[in-house]
Amino acid sequence: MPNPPEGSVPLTWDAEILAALLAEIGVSHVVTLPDNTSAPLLEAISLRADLRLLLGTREGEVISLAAGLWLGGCSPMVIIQNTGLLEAGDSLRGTASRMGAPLLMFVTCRGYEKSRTLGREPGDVEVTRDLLVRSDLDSVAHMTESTLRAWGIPFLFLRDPADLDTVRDAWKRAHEEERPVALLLDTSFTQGPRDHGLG
Amino acid sequence: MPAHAKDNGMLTKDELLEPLARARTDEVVVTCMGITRPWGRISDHDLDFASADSAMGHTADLALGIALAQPERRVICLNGDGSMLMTLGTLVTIVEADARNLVLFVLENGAYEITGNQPVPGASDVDFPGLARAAGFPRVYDLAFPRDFEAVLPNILHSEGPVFVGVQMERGSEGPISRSEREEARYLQTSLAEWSRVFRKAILSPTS
Repeated sequence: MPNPPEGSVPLTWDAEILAALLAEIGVSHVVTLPDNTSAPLLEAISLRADLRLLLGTREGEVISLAAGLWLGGCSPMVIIQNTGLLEAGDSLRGTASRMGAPLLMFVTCRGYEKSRTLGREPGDVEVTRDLLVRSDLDSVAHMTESTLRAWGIPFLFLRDPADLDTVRDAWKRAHEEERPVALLLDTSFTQGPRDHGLG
Repeated sequence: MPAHAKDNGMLTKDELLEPLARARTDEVVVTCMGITRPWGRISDHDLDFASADSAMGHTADLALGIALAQPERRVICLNGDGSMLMTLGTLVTIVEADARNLVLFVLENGAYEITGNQPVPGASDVDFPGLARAAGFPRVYDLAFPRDFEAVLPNILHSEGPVFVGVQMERGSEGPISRSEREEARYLQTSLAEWSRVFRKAILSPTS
């Protein structure tokens, strides 16, 4: 995966545009457990009549519920934090992955910014005991990509607001290959529907 | 034995499953662990789904997803008490999602049957129907006698839900569940991926 430009800052997103894109590509349900990053996107989704937002109580439940939606004939996706991805491991393995279900997973990247301020790209760092206990680093950032690889989950990064085709590509790949595909949201949403004065 | 249960009341698997199979029409039935083989022996239906060789403890949430995808079709989930404990939060999620077509059975035998009947934590104390009521289920049944089950089964299958049914069950002796051609039940004879497609095709069929 290419590294972001040196000295770059988190890019801002229009959550409403992304929510509209999800509806455009055919998502029926968004199953999620909120985190700090996803709140603006979840708000934008909740305002759309063509997307049903479902909140779970834990990420493993979110994955299994989404798998059930697919079994029932729907086209779900999930939005979870990378910490929640780890929690959902066996659910993901035993439902969506084992069923061969096309599941798009937005995974927010907790800890990535913290790692970069210290000059580290999270996916390139060996996970040592010292790294795991450091309070100035968020260990989940250093486990996210390697965990996805270990679980056989292809992943892409969403970093460029002009690159929404990556969302389409991830959705398409999940359906063509009949498997979960993760899109790591390596950015933050700072604009929700209200910022556009749309009410 | 939970305080709410009758001291001498338990259903066998046959006493639970045979009336259910007779009453079943076009409902989805999702089974879990020790009930997958017994149900598969008396039911051969493309809308049966075994949460086996899958993710342990995730039967109720899987069934919830199916129910939300097919709101006009009743979905019956035969979950175990051990499995239910693994995702207790799903009791709340079911109510919050307003899954009115979902019937969630928790079959309380107090044991992890397929691993050798080790006791489920809290087996003598946990009040599953009480948990369901506290989570907001509008209809909760607490059953320990076959005659009681048969009497309320029509209401269970036709009342607006979500419906919770706690059933005191005798312990069985099923071993680990596999998916292979050696299995008697058709829905266990193929891989999870293959049966998922059989099921999905059936549920999307206009004639199912």
